[in-house]
Amino acid sequence: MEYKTTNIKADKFTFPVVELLTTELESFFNEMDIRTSQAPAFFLNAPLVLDFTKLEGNSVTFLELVVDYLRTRGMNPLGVRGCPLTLAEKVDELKLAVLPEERKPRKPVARKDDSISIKTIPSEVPAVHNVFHTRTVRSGQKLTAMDGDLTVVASAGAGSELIAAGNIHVYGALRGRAIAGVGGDKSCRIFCQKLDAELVSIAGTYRLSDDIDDRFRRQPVQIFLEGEQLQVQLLSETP
Amino acid sequence: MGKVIVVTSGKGGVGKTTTSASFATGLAAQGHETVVIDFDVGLRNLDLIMGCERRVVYDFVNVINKEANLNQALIRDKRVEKLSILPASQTRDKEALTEEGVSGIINELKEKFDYVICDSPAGIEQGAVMAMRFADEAIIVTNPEVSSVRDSDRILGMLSSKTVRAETGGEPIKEYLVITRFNPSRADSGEMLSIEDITDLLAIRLLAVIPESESVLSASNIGAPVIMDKDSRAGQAYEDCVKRYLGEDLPHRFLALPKKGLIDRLLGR
Ligand SMILES: Nc1ncnc2c1ncn2[C@@H]1O[C@H](COP(=O)(O)OP(=O)(O)OP(=O)(O)O)[C@@H](O)[C@H]1O
Ligand SMILES: [Mg+2]
Repeated sequence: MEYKTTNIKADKFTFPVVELLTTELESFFNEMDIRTSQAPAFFLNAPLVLDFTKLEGNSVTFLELVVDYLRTRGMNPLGVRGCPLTLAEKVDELKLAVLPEERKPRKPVARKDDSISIKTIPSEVPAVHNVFHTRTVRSGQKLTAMDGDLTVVASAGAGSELIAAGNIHVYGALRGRAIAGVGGDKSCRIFCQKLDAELVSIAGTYRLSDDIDDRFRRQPVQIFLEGEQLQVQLLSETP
Repeated sequence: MGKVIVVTSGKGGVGKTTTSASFATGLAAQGHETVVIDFDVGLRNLDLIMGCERRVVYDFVNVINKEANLNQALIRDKRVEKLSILPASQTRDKEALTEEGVSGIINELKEKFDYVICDSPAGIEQGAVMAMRFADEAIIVTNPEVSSVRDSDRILGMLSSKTVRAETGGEPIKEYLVITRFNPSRADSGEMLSIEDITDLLAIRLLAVIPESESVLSASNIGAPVIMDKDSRAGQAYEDCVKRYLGEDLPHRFLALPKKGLIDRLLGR
């Protein structure tokens, strides 16, 4: 179908990142108070990203209080990164987006038999970050792999959500939603042992459970894009 | 140190309280010091099923608010020696269950009892979260219908994110499935989910299947957990449930329709 009312496309923005270095709320609040008073215009309505990478043992309450603090002072936390899985539900509840980890340039691999050292060219290729999950994904849970593939070596229940920039593999039943190629990569695929999904999507093209042919139901399949069309194929019928 | 087991479901009215009462009674009868706590503040029920409603003086919330100590609020069962009940308050709401208060009481109970059974209220809010918060193990109670199974799946997700074990990265909570109100003929006819469907969907260990049985209602009317009714199918299924939990390897009974005897068949019954 042709879309006339909107264009949906990917774009890049730069947001200030608040890197949290302590779980001590008092000192965090005090410092933020000082910083915001130094540049009130910068912080007012500012979209922010909270970075949890450097924190250990952060709790659900901590996250809630930090977000609450920022919001009541007119700042606008949009998302988090480096957040442990245990906070996922709270992140969701607070309507925050989960953003990818900081991109680190790939380390050059020095080969032993190389007698001459090779100058490294800074890599433009973003680091691939695959995500593995070995427990059943439950209704209401959301797993994301924003820099690579998402592999689930278990089933994903109805009402769960799997989201990946790359491919999605489910070595069990896929009963929830699977959204692959969220960055717009049309070459991504979804693979599963048993297809019973509520929704599958690749690079924005989606199909609902109702529109999936019954002959694929509970079968091992792969799903991919052919032109603008989402194709489902039995794994047993792959050439 | 005792084990904390939450009995939970998400969906309401599936048999959590019935299961908590019988499971706790069974553990105590097998010789384990057991306490069962009613987390359903505002809709107190467990005391009725346990037949101790007339002996409630202080409750869970009184202890949290330090208006009574634990020993004053605990009720010793009159029939089963090692069994105690901590009743819920009927006049408060679930917000009265503070994290700090619940944590203190659970820790105190773990010192005294082998098993602390937490009868969760329905839903996914404060009361249910507090009931599961400190659990070591969980019994998921499910009826053979799609909505109940879906809610159980949601609760399983919460067990792996909202509990202290999950937040501190401890060993995952041990999860058991109890299917209640199972009706073989309705499962056979496809009206209800089959046992295979449910275990396939939830992918946790099946501890017991409790058949739909009128004896559950009569048991609650006389205030004696159905496990005490040794003649009833539901009572026997709960008995198996407890033994299986304690390590006995028993086959699941009551999955098929009762076989008709020769006389029944001759008489066309
Ligand atoms: N195996 C069974 N056979 C027949 N009836 C049952 C069975 N198990 C439970 N019931 C009935 O179902 C109703 C709900 O049971 P119960 O109170 O144990 O559920 P609950 O999950 O604790 O409910 P709530 O969510 O309100 O706390 C009761 O009327 C009870 O008698
Ligand atoms: Mg109940």
